[in-house]
Order: sequence, then structure tokens, then C-alpha cells
Amino acid sequence: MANLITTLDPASRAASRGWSDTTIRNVFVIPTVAFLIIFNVFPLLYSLGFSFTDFRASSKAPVNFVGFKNYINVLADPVIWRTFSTTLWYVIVSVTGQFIVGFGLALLLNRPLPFKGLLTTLLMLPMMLSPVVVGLFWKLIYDPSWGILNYALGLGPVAWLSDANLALYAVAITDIWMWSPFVMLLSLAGLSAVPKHLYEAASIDRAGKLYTFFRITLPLVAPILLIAVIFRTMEAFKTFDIAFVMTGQPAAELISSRLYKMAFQQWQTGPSSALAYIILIMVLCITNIYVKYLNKAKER
Amino acid sequence: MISPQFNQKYFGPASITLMVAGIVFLCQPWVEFLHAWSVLVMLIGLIGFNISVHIPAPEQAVDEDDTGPVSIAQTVGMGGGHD
Amino acid sequence: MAVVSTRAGRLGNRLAITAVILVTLVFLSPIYWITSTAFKPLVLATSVPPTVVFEPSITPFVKLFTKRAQLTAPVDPAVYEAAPWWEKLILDGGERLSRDGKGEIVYSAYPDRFINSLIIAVTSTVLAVSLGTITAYGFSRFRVKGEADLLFFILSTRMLPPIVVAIPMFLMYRAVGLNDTHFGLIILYTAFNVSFAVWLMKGFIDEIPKEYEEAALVDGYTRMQAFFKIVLPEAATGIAATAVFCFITAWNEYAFALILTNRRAQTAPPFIPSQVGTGLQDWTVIAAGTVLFLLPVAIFTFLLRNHLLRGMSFGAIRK
Repeated sequence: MANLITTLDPASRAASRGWSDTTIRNVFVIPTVAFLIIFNVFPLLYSLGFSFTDFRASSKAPVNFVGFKNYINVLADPVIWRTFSTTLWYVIVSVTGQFIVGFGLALLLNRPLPFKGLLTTLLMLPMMLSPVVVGLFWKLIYDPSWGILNYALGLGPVAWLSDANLALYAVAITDIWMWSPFVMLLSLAGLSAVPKHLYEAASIDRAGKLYTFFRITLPLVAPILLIAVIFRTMEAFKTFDIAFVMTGQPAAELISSRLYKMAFQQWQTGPSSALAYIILIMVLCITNIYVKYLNKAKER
Repeated sequence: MISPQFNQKYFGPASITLMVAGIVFLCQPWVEFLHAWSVLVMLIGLIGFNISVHIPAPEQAVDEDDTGPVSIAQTVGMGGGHD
Repeated sequence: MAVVSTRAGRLGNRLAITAVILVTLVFLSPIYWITSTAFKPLVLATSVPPTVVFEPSITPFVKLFTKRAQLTAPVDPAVYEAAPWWEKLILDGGERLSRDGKGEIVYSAYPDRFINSLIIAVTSTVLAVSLGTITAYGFSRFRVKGEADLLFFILSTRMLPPIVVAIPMFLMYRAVGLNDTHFGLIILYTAFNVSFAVWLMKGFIDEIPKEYEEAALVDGYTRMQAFFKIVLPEAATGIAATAVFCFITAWNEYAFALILTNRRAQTAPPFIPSQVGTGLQDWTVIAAGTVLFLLPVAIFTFLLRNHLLRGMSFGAIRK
């Protein structure tokens, strides 16, 4: 690490007393970076090694090198493939839902309202709660016989979480409930940053409401909405707690749950490390795109 | 080497396209061939993107009227990096 | 859009207010439902149709902290009279409190798990925020070679799916005996949160003018003194907001806790759902546990409301 950090800002030479700036910078920066390398890079290298072996954490059998066999098997496994497809569909449904509800709420809230601060704070509550606990109490709400949802909507005994066709949507609804406020919050920040004079100019030009929305509001809010959507996409791909707690329905199994079962219930450490790496590459792709747009937004 | 102009115009966007395409290939439920090779596509896109962000942006015409504050991210970005 | 003066505009505004209030109520109804379940008598929790209006009782919370057994015979009236009010609530429900050989009440596992959560979340927050603040200062004030890459690396460690990291972590912890220890979970959460703390704190420290420190340096302070006496007090709000965020993340974390702990160091998130699978489930008790667990987060959300957006966007949006 030390040779990476060598240049020194000559302007901050003023402090020649006490520790030099170089020392302070090294003492401040290096421990954290080293700590993160030990806790993130090292374990990942460790499991990269395992992904090329037939290692099982539950047995003491000798470990053999199997080359790319784990990766080939994982990519040829129809169950894992289906899980990936389910996950993508879940991501699409839940992020679209969050976008519609969140942006809609932001449009409603983007005006002088009494108790606006209180209302937004109350709306923010769901996303701060523990996903696993949220999943748990939605299970109570979704219950086919005594759940409040079926009763409130006047539905019969709809088994939301055990029906193969509904379980995924039930989880997505919970996720939408949790995270639409996040999209709302970011959209509100974007909307309030739209300069007022643009709207005034539009109203002088007698521009229609729709025209104003699509030609002024949307383009100006778009960058921030994009950040919200990419971030939620990345998080939705990683979803584990909510879905894992809410339903055991195989049709609603997400990739993280599949990975958990492979690694910690079937103890296929080698293949599950390979699957973990495939997921890692996917998430890194999204992270790269996310950070690109994040920095773009910061520069504005 | 990849020229900054080529990078900004084609190489960078192509890498992002490859990454997104790889994710779609991995998760689409129809074509097994695409699913099987998706990881390679993502990996190429990821590596391409990381090369792309380290090529400094082409010199831009400076806006004389721009007196706005220079953000940290921009200053950092000049040294090459994820921006 | 912002200027509302026409009659139609006023009507639109009134409609919007009504809609916003309705939506807020719908959004809060699940939270109301779990909270109300925590105060329901057992029979009403799973009644068909669901009970909305009822007389609240505190019994689920007493049950949450104790171990109970079914009453086999009616209670001796003398014993009933001598029992404190909270024991009477249990006896009224047809159960008695379990006692050990010495007659001491046996507590349930819930308080232990809650305290584990508290110890682990608080310690890891303190560590992550301290490390994060000084690292952010380093990045903010000094030129670090490859800064953008290092910052990206720091952020990307936060983005990794927990299960992916948990596989090697589990094996490594097993090898060094850190599985199911407080220490193991504390350093893991610190590692998880420090990346976030660096990003958020860097934004806050970037906003403190460099001139403040430079003036202090001219006055004969050393860099370190300037950092502790000038920068830290200026960044206090930022530090508090970051700490609350780190605390909530560690408090809510599930995947690592599920995989790396099972008894001694288990936190509340894996414990609460594990109660559901065990035989006859009492939803009022689960709800009581859930409400107690969610309470700190709800309080912190109110304290944090002005910084929430900034934290959620990793410092990208400042308001």
C-alpha cells in the first residue's frame, strides 16, 4: 500500500510541527484500506480458490482441483438458471413498482403542504426497518386465514406466500412498500432543485401541464432518478432476507437464497463459491455503472 | 493504445453495453447458449470498463463563463479513476 | 406547479393533500398492524375476521421475557394473590412461569439476543465511525495517489452481496475459532460499515473550509491538534448522522448473523424469525419482540430525518 500513497500536497506544508502531513495521511488512510483488504479482498481470493475445487466444508475428504468444472456445471444447472430468471423478474417488478409509487408520491408532495416534514419522515420509516423483521410481519399480514390484507381487500383465502404464481409478487409488494419512499426522497430532491423560473417561463409561454412535465421536469430530474433506479436494481439483485424469511415457495426462490442453500445446507462449497463469483461479477458490473452516474451527479 | 476520443465515443459505451448485455444474457429464461456464455460477456465488459475509466477524458473546450465551484470529484477525476 | 392561485389550482392542492394523507396512512398501516398485534390478547391475534378494535394488554411483553409452561391444574388462590401483577397476567392466560431449582424465574432467550444486538451494533458503530472519520479526513485533505480507485474499492466492499462474502468468512472464522463470538461479528460489521462511513464523512469534511485549519496552523497548532480541535467539532453533526446510519445497518443485519452465529453471540434479527418455526407459535409474542426491536430504529429515523437522503445516496445528494 505504501508505494501507492507517495505524492504529497505541497500546499499543506505549513504544519511542520508534530507529525508530518505524510505521516498523518498514512496513519489515517492505510489502516482502513488494509482492514478492508483483510476483510474483503482476502476472503474473496480464498473463495476464488475454492471455486476451482470440489471442496465440501462439511467433510474432511481430500480436496481436488477441478478447473472450470464448477462454473460449467453451475451455468448448466436448470434450477440455478431458473433462479436467475426469477431474480431478474423480481428486480423488474419491484424496481418498476418502487419507481411508479415513489415518483408519484414525490409529485404529490412537491408543493407547499402542511406537516410536510412530518409526513415525509413517517413515509421514510419503512426503509429504515430491518428487512427480515419486515418480512416476518408481512407474513402475518399476508396470512390466508387471519391476515388483514385479504380481509381489508375483501378477498377470499388467497394464499399469497405459498401460491407459486403469487409468492414472488407478494415479496415484491413488500419490497415496494419498503423502498418506494427511497425513490420518493431522491425524486423530491431532484424536483426541488428544478429552477422556479423555468416553470414561470413555461407558464408565460402558455405551455400545457403535460408539455411542462415532459420537457422541463422530467429531463431535469432524470439523472437523480437514474441513480435511484440503478441503486435499487443493485440492491434488489442481492435481496436475501425478505424473500428468505417470507416464503419457501420454489417458484419464488431468488439467487441469494439458492446460494445460501447450496453453501450452508448442502455444503457444496466448491460449486457455491463458483456461483458466488458469478453473482459477484454481476453485482460489480452494476456497481461500476452506479458509481459512474453517482460521480456524474456529484459533479453537477 | 486507445485514444481518449475513441474511448469516450465508442470504447466506454461499448463496455457498459457488454456489462448490461451480460446481465440480461445471464438472467433471460429462453436461450441456453447465451446463459452459458453470459459470465464471459460480463467479465469482458467489466475489464473493458475498468480500462476505459483509467483513460483520461479528452481535453474539453473550457467554458469561459463558468465560474462555478470546482468539485472534488472533478479534480480527482483528472487523475483518472471511476468517474 | 409551485404557484397556486387559481380556484382549480386550490382544489388540486386540496386533493393532493388528501391523497398524501391517505397514502401515508396506507404506508403506516402495516406498522400499526404489527404494533397492535403486540398488545392483543392471544385469541385476538389470529381471530377471523381480524380484530381492529380491542382492549390493549401488556401480556405479550411479559411473555416475551419469560419462559412459561401450560397450567395443568387451577392455580391455588393464595399463590395467585401473592403473585405480582405481571405474573397474574400469565396465570390468567392459563400458563405459569417456569422456575429453576432455586425458584428463580427463567428468562427467555430474547433479552440475551437483544443485548447481543446492542453490544455488537454499538461497538462496531464506534469503531467504524472512528476509522471512517480519520480516513475521510485523509482523503479529503491530502493528495492520495489512486484516490478515485481507492474510494471506489472502499465503496465496492459495501456493495458485495452478504452471502457471497459469508462463504469464505464462515470458513475463515471456523478456522480461527471466531464463529459465534461477539468479537467476530463486531469486526465484520465494522468492516462492512467503515466503507459507508468513509464515503459519508468525506462529504461532510469536504464541506468544512480548509481555511479554518490553515488559520489554526498559523496560530501554532500542529496538524493533529487542528484536526481534533477544529475539524472534529465542525464535523460533529456529520459524525452523529454517520453513526446513526452505521448503527441502524449493524442493528438490522441478518445474513452474516444467521451464518456466523447460532447461540452465544446471536443477534435479534436471526432470532426473531426462528421463533416462528417452533411448534405452536404465539404471534403476539413475536409481535412484541418485533416492536421492541424496531423501536430504536424508529426513534433514530426521527432524529436523522434531515440527513437521511444524504446517507442513503452515499453522500451524493446534499440538502
